[in-house]
Amino acid sequence: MSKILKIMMIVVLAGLASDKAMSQSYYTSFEYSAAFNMGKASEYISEPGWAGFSIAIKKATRKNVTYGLVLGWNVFNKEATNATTQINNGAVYGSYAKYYNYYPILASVGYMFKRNRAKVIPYVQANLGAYYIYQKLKLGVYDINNDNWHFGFGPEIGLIFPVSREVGIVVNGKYNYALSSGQNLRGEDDNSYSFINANIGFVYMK
Amino acid sequence: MRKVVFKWFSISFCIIAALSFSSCYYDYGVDTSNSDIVVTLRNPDYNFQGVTKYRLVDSVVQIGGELTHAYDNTIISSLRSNLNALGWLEVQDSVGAGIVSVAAGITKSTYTVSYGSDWWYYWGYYWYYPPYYSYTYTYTTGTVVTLLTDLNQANGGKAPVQWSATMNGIAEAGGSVSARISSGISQAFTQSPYLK
Repeated sequence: MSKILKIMMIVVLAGLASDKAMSQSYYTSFEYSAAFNMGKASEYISEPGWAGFSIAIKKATRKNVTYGLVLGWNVFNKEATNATTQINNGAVYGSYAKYYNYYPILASVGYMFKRNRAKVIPYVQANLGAYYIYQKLKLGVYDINNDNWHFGFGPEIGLIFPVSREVGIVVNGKYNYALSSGQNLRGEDDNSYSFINANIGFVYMK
Repeated sequence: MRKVVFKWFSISFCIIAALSFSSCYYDYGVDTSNSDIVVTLRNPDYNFQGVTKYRLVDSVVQIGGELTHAYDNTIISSLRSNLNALGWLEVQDSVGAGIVSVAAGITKSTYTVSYGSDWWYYWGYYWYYPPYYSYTYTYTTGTVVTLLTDLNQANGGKAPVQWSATMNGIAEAGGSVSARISSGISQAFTQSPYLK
C-alpha cells in the first residue's frame, strides 16, 4: 500500500513538475505604442501620437491570473508655420509647435484565457497607477511648459501569438484615464486626460 | 511559416520604431522668418461697429528695455494705413461720437541663452567642467504694442482698452525689421475682422 502511495505521489509530482516546465510564468513585452487623444486632450492635439513605446512585465499564477508593471512613453506633436489660432476674445498668429508627453507607470492585474501550448493567448487586464504628463507650447521665440503627476487607470485587452516556447508577438489596446491634477497650460483647473494606446511588440515568456 | 512571419515582423518593427522616434520632436528652429507672433485681444462687449473716427497718437511710446526710435515712422504709417482701410476717418479730437484713440509702444530686449553651462547638466562628465560642447547665443526681440481706447468711456482719468495688438519677434539685422513690423500690424487687422 505504501509503495503504491509512493509511486502515485512520484507520478503526481512529476506531472506537476512537467506542467510547470511547460507553462510560462513570466511575460516581458517590448511594444511599439501609438496613442490617440480623446476628450480635452484632443482639443490641444487631435493628431495621433505615432512615437511611443511600452514595457510590460507580468507574472502569471496557476489560475491564469497575472499581476505586474506597465511602463510607457507616448509623444504627441503638432506644428504649424504662420497659422492663425482663435483664442478667447482674440487670435494668435505665428509659428508654433505643441507637444504632449505621457509617461504611464502602472501596476496591472489581469487574466489570461489560455496559456499552455495555445496558438493564441487572449487576455484582459486592468492598469492602475501614475501618469507623468508634460505639456509644451513653443510659440515664436517662447517656450511654455507645464507638467504634473496624475493618478490614473484603464482597461487593456490583448492577444499573444506564441512563435516558440519563449517568444511571441503581442498586440493590445489600452484605454487610459488620468485624473485631473494641477492646471493645464491655459491655467484651467480641469486638467484630466484620456487617450487610447494601440501597441504591438515582442513578448518573452519564461 | 510562423518563424518567417516573425522574422518579417521583427524587421518591420525595428524600422517603424526607428522612423517614429526620428520624428519624435519637431523643432522648427527660430529665426527672423518664423519668430514673429501677433496676438490680438478685444473687449467682447464693445461695439466696434459704432466707431467711425480715430485719433492716432503720433509718437511711439518707449516701454522700458533698450530704447529705439528707428521704427517709429513705420509703426505710425502702418497703423494709419490700416485704420484708414477700415473706413475710419482720422481726426484730432479724442472725444466725440464714434471716436477712438489709438496709441503704440515699442520695446526691445536682449536675451542670452547658454546650454551646458551647469555642471549638473552633464553630471556624468563633471570633471570636464566647463562642458566641452557647451554653447551660448544671444538674440534680441522687439515688441510693438497697439492699444485702442474709447475716451468717451473714461472713468477717473482711465479709459479701458477695447482692442490690443501685440507683435513680437527677433529684431536683428538681416530680417528687414521695418517690413516685418509693417506686416505684423497688417496681420493684426486681418485677424480682427470685427473692427470693420
